[in-house]
Amino acid sequence: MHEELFLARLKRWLKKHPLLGPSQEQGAAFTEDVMRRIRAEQAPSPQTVPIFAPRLAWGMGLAAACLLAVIILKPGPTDPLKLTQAIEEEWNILEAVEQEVDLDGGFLEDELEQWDSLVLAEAVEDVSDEEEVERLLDLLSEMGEEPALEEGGSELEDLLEEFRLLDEAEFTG
Amino acid sequence: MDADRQTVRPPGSSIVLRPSSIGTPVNMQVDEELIRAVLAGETGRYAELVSRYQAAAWQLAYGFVGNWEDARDISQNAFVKAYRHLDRFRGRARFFTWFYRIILNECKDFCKGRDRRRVVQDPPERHEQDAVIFEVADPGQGPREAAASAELGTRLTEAIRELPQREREAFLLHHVQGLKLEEVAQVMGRRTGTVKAHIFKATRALQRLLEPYWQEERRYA
Repeated sequence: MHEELFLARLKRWLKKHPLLGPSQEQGAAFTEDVMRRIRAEQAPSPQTVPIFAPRLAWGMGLAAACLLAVIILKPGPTDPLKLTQAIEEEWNILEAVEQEVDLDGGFLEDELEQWDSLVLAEAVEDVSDEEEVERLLDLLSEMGEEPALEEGGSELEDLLEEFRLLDEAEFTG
Repeated sequence: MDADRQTVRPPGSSIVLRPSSIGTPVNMQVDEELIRAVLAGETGRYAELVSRYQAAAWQLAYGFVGNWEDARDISQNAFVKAYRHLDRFRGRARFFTWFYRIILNECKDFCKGRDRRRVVQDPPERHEQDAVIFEVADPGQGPREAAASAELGTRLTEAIRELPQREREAFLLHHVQGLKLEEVAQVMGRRTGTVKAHIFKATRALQRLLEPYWQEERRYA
């Protein structure tokens, strides 16, 4: 059969025997189903529907705002309040070691750091006279020096005087 | 296919509007008005678009997948997808060519998924293989003519299924759905010349496959 003739017959047959299609009832149900799906897509999902009462929502909003404020206003390492406290503490320490603080307009924190190291270096060790004598005797012994003790007075006072004389002689000699 | 063929007769149903007659200038204008209304917020008017094209969509999908229920699901998905992306429709082409393209893509996705499922587990379902996509019943036919027509309908269905995908698309859109060559080219995203070649190859393949049955049918026609 010639191609054109076959095609003409095929088209005629298709005209008489079209593709199956839905009935009116099926078509109506079809449209309804599609529209239901579309409306379902438009409607907010159950998870996104506001489940909080307005008051609760306001409360949560306020709490969030407070949290934000706390985060923003949280004291940092260089905030004025902390610096004031630090100065006061340092001042108390210096007073305890009987040091005068002479702040000459320098940056407070730097000054305080310098004073820290100064105070530590100059701090007087609180030792008793007996301990000091023992240390000095040990030191003299190591140096091969035997203190010449004079008669009279307390043993302790005599020793200290001897040491003082030794020191002076050594420094001036 | 001629534009004057405006009805189909689905099994046990009354007359349904033939979708291929929709692509006229008047109907295009109606489509555009409906789309504008939907985009302006009148969602309910999308039902009118669905009503106009649901038969065409269902038929086209059925021609591809050969299963009535699957064809319904595919065409419904296509309508929902078209709604989601309606704002992307710029009106440069007719609505139905844009929409047909969505259906074809849905059909392709479905067929790929079905082929994978079959490879993995299921053999082809018998009722799918036997489904005739054409209305072959004719009250005016005698029993012999009706049997020959039914046989030809079955063979044509099988032959169309055996066509390569692009040839099947072009043949169904042009000769069965009644789209013009230019419209088929728009739907398929191909040049008109390419579409012509697909249709020519499809027709030759169908002729080779159907000629013996055609002679049989002709004897009783």
